[in-house]
Amino acid sequence: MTDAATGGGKPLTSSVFYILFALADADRHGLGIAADVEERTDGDVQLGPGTLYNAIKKMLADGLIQVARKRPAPEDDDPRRRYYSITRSGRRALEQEAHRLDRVLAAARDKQVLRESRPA
Amino acid sequence: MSSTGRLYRALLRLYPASVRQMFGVEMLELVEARAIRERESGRPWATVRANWFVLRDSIRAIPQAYRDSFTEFWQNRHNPGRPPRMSIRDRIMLVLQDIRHALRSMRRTPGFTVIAVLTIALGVGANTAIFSVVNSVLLRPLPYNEPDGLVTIWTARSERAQARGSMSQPDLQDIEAQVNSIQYASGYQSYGLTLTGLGDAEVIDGAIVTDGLFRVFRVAPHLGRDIRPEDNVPEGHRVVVVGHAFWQERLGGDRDVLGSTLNVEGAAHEIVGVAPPGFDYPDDAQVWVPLYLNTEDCGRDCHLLRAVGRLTPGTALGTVRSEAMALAGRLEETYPEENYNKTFIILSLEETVVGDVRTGLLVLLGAVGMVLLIACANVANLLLARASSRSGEIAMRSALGASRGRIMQQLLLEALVLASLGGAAGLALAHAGLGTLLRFAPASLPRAESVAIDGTVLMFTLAAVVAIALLFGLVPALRLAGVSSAGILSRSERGGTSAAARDLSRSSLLVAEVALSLMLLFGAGLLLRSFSQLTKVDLGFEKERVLTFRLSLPEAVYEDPDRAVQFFTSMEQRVSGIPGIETVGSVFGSPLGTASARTSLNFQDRPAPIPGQEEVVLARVSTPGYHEALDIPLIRGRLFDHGDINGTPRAVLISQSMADRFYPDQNPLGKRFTVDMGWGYGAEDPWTVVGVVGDVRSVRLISEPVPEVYVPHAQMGGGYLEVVVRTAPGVTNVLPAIRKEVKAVDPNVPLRGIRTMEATLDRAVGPTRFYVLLLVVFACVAVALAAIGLYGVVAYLVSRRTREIGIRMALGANRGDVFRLVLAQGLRPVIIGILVGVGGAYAGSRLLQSLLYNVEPTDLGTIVGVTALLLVVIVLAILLPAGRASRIPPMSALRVD
Repeated sequence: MTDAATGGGKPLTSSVFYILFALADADRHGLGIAADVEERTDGDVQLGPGTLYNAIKKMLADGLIQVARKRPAPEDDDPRRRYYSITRSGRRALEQEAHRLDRVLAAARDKQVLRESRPA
Repeated sequence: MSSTGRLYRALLRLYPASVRQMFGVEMLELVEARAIRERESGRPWATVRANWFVLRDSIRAIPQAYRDSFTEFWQNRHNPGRPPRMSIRDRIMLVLQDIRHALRSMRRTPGFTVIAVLTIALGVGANTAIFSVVNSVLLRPLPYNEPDGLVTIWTARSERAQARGSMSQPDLQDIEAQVNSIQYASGYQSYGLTLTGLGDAEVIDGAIVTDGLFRVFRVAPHLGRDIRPEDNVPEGHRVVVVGHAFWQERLGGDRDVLGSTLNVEGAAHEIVGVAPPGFDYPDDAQVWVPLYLNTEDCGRDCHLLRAVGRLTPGTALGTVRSEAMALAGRLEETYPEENYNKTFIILSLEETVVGDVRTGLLVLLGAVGMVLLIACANVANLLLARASSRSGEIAMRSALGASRGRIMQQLLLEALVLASLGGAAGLALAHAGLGTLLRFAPASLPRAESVAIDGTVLMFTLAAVVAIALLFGLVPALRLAGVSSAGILSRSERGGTSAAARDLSRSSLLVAEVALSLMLLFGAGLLLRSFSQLTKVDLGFEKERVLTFRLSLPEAVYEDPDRAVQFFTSMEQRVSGIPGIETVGSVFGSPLGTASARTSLNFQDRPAPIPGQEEVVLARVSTPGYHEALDIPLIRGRLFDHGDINGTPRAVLISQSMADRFYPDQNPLGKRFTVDMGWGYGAEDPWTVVGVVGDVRSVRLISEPVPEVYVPHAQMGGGYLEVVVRTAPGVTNVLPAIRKEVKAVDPNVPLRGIRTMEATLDRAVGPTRFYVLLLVVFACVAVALAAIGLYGVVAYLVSRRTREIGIRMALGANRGDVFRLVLAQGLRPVIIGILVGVGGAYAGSRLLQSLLYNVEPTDLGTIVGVTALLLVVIVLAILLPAGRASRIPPMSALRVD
């Protein structure tokens, strides 16, 4: 198992982080993940198909996400699509990454790199 | 599809296959969505932007994808035990889901399910039942301490080393003393001993033993002591050891029983010990008395004992045998007369107990195994037929992403569910049928009382279920999982590439079924012929309406031979007076009985034989009524009469084969010889032949008659005879009257071993009848299964070729042509199967040799007969669907899609 899955503390790659983020609140299919990431970052991060699925493949293998067993209501469902959901270890990795970023943020504020007033 | 989509489809080809197959569709969807959004955004260069987006992504992602694939490959290679991708729980869920799926699909096809489950149940049930017999009789260790170290010891004559004979006491003593690898040995005679003084006179299983029987079995008496060497002397103080069960039930389990007396065979014996619980060797004995053999009367050439021995720990049977052989050589040098040509046979006790039935049981186990294989082939055929109707379902699953392994797993699981249901039903069947099976088991089947379905049997059944699931599940599973989804989705049900391959496996299954059935039929046929030969054997006597029982006069009371003669004379007189009884006679050594005596002959008109090389014949001691009671024909001279008594000239009857052997061209009447039987009156004076009687199958049903002499009881004496009573036709239940008359002569002489002559014969043919019965049943089941299988396959082929048949008929083929076409196709595997089966039958039938009587294992008539029988049944099974095919109206055939 990779460090990410065991919460070993290595920073997650940005695409992994964003995908976990996108799945944190709902199961999504690939297109849904890409749209969510793009929306959340105001279009700064645009996951291309290769990048997205390379990451998904690796995350599936590492057990951070899984193919969702539950599917949406039939009227919204497209049988060709696979929905992905975050696993427990994925959620743990996401949490750790968030804590790490939080520490980075705190350090940045301490060192006055980041000004408090800047809106999020 | 947009131009960007087309571009991306090309780019996708650059990705590793694993990524492309797993996510290609989704990736393309993403690209299409992007292209649409670019177009709808209204910005210029939409297509160029979209193309640039996917190109930029591909340039970054394709090398990354290869790096990931390589890493994954590398990790797998160097870390084969990598953690499963799926948690255990997920796997279990998946298996449960598959089982639910299997059960659901079985419910959807109840006809198939019921037939398959019943077929398996039949196969597994028969196997479980037979295996439980094999397990209890052959596999489970004997119920003694360290049973591997127990042996039986026998005398044999070098030239006929197979025949096991009893031991003489001096020989046995020498073996115990001089053969190092035999630690202890003990000799015994197993007897029904008459007990008096505990109510009515009764016979109880017992044994007359030399000392050390308990030592051989490594058991200690529960109370008191074992039989000691000083007990084994004639005229010694008489002692008895009683069995634990006897002590509990008949003597009240009283610890003070030691020192009290028990009346055994008319003499008071002091109870000196109680055997440990459960010990009942030999033959369920409950009373053991010491053996008083007078070595002057009964020495080295007096073979009366059966013997058991305990091997010195760590000795192999081979060592004991060579040591015993060496001893036999030394003894022959020391005692050239008594030990002429004598050698010893040492067998493990287990071999002695189960040796006779081993071959038969293993043959039965092999036969049920074949039935199971045929059942498997049938179920496999059913599954194959179902496979074609399920290929659509499978193709759909694999298109939806199920891997080949996943589909295999599911199909095998279905087979396992099917096999388990069949196995459970089979177990129930075996449980129900075991009692019936044992009722038909021959009385000679040892340890039959302990046959039960135990843990070992359950494990066997479980293993059988898994094995057959693999056997009949694997072929269809491989076949189905192997086809590409595109292949099946794109073609219609009719025809197709894999059909030929499927037909091939179908045909091989049929070939196997036919071959196995033929082998079973052949085995059953051989045994059946053997059985009919057995029942046709000319016994030499009339078996109907004959009742036999044994009378053993207590030695202490009947020491005087006159008293014994008087007893039998007045007993016969009284019994023959009972209404409904035609004739009564008594004999020592009735046909097919256990008692027998041999004597060497010394002819008056020939030179005396070299010591040790005398002519030996079977000797019978009979009363005047005996030959008439059994309807043994008189050929020359006269039978015994009441004038042949002690003091008158000694008369002897000889059998036809004795006359043929010793007096081939002369009249034997009036010839004289001496015998060496030293019973009551002694036998020094010569005997004169007064008559020749017919041969009798006296030793075993399957042994040719041997030369025999009969001497009158009134001139020989002896207190142990079997009484033969012939009743008038239609008379039943004379036994109470007989009992009353015997009691009137002496109330202390009970009747033993009461049975009809027909029952005795029944016992003799019992084992063969048991094997025949089961083999015939198995063979019938096998043939029925094979016929059903063949019928199903041909019917299926016909239904699949309906269209072809229609075209043929439209083009001018007539019904006969179609009929022949179908018949020919059905018969091809049958013919191959028969050829294979004949080969197999000939190769395997030698295993049956020891079970056969008067039939060669390669009997041509039998093989021709069973082949013809099989062909008839099978052709009938094919004719039904073939006939249906020929009646298909061409137009309806053509309309079939």
